[in-house]
Amino acid sequence: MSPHLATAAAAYAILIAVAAGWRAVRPLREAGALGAPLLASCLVLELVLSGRAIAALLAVAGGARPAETTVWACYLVLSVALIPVGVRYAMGGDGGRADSLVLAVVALAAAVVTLRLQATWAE
Amino acid sequence: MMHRSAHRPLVAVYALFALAAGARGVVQTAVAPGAAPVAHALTLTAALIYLVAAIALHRASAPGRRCARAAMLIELGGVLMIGALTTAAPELLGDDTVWSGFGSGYGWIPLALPLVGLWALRRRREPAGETAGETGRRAPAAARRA
Repeated sequence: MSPHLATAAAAYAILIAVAAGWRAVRPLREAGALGAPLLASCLVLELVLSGRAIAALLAVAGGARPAETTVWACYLVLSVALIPVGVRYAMGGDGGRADSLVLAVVALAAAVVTLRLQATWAE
Repeated sequence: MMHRSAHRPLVAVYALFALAAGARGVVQTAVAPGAAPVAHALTLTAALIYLVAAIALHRASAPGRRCARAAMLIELGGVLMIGALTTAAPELLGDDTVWSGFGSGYGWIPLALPLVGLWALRRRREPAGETAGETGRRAPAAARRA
């Protein structure tokens, strides 16, 4: 697994968290829905994380082994599932500040999980 | 019923910590069973408390709020006690828990979380009419006029 891709994905997740956090604290211009750019960014992040997970599974199928297999597998599942579950939960609200904060929390968690996934592979 | 969306970020954080602590406890117990039973049991207990708080906050009812407050108080007591113990004697428990070093392994979020949660619960009071109905007290004049 490429450490550079992990760093880039984590940085992108942090950017999404900052954008979602900003949306939560700024005066709302529109109500009732989470911003489309924010949701599109989450979709892109999910695609990156899914691609990374598939590449990692292919590497394992090719004989590579993570340093901590059990912990790594937990992080792998979480890295793919976190964004869809979090976005779904955020979209279940009224689209207000609290739901933007939910997205910020989920994006930050995705950044941490991405870095931990890399660490448990390389340790 | 208090506004359901108000505590959604807290529900998300508590659910994440329930997952993180639960997975950590299960993996620790599975990889090294019996190596540090107290530490592993404490981590699993923390996971359970996080889960109870998440569910109670999600329900957003008066009993749910009371349950969440109780869980947060237990959580705060736990993180302070385990944090102090592990700071004074780092090898005491044999392994790290979620609350070791006041949650330093998790960016001190375990220490801040119950404080933020209790503050949020205190800040988000229920509408006066509902509270009065539950406690038997008279609602304020403004609420009665409404």
